[in-house]
Amino acid sequence: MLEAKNLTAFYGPLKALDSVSFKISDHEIIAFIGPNGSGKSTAVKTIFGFVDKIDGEIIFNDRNIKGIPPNELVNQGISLVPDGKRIFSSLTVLDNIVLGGYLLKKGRSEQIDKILDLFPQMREKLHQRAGTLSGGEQQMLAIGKALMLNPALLILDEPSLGLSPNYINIIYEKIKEINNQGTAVLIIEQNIEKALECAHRAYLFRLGKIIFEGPSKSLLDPEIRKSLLR
Amino acid sequence: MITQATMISQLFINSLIAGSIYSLMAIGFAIIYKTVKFFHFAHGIVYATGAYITYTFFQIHRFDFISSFILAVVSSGLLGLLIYQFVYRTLQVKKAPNLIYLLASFGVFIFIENIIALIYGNQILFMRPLAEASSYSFFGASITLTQIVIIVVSIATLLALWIFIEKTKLGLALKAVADDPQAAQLVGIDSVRLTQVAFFVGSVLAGVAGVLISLETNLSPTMGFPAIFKGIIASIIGGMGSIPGAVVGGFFLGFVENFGIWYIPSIWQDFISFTFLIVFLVLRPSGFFGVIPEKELI
Repeated sequence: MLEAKNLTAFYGPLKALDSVSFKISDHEIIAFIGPNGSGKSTAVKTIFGFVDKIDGEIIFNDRNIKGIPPNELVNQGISLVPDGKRIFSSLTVLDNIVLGGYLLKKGRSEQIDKILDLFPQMREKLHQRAGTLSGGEQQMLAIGKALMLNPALLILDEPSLGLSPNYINIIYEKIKEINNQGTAVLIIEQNIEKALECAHRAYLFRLGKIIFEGPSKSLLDPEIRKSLLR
Repeated sequence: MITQATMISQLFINSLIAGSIYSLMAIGFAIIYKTVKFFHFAHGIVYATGAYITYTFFQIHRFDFISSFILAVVSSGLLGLLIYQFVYRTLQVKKAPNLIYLLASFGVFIFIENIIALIYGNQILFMRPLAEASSYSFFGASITLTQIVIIVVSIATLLALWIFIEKTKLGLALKAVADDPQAAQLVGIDSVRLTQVAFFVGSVLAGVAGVLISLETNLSPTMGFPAIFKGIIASIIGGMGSIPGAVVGGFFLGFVENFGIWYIPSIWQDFISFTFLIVFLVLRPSGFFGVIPEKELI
């Protein structure tokens, strides 16, 4: 479904991604792992054009999507939940969900119902300002918002960042549920164990390059990872 | 004989008129500030242009007033849009620092001010489309038809804006871009398009204010400068970037200025505004509506 070939990206003169290639098939869960600054997050920012200069090819459903503005990319079926601030904190929870479906021509209320079935605890907080939600609730809202357009591929950048262990478990349960409903998921994670348990395949990044790709189970042993990162 | 009660009702009317104009200026300024996070100082010259375009159609080409008004207001919106597209957008693409926008904004202001002076001259112009003679009594004070029109049109414009922001999809998208432009793009909103909408709508409000004030006072090429200052002060007092704050700030400024001159001569009106600006900046920089000014205030 999504294939990147020899992707190179720059922040100003700095090369942040060095000729990486990866592939995500339908219904897959993929994990991008690696130390800080290894380029895993940059790989996603590159897909969305949030870097200064890009070389290489990005193919999504047989179309070259390199250089397409983010607002058109979501329309083609790729949704991103960025790291850090993920929601419109000054707006209500409902407004956030409605905005998630900004591009929907019809069936918006059915879609809202579907999202609220996935995250039932949002139902009581619809008219609350999103900024007043807890970190875990904000992450749920961010994911719900990103699912409004029924994406073929959902990308989550650091979904467990700053969350309590309890919420991390809930979020990962939901990721599996979303995947079961037919959405491919790409997870970029510092929380390596959690991501590897959930994902089918994984890519290991180091210094802007991919140094390993394979079934995520093969990376679960920390000793193996350590030897790869050496 | 002027009783104290008459005096109060007269000052009340004057306050309402000034407050309406300040609110319109402040809201337009706030909508744009909220979206782009820099000071669009040239907003003041859009206000002056609105007045001069009405003058051109109504006084020179003898259009009826309503058509002149609509043409002027739409042109003001388009002028704001053009300023964004040709000046700020170019700077955004080049990733200019915030100070550059302010300087560019001053540049645009002076440039258009000079064009107005070139075309219409530096002298003061008048425009009185409504019968001056018809004046009504309001709790002992007199209010002219023009003044009623100013207040009614202002309030109608504020209501229309409220409906646009709170009840339409485009209004919600505008709030989303103001909250977080990148997150807005990630739900499929074209941030550049919405910034254009913000400039158009904000500039329409400046145009309305410019036309309304010139019914009561007069037109001069330099009229934009005090107007944008009052708009900015009202905006800061209300809470930078807050739309309800801009309304409250505008009327607050109108009332303190007008009731203030009960005690001191009227040439000190601006002194009153700036005093309140300083008081707010020192004691409550977040204004009435508690929005903490962001780092990129300039």
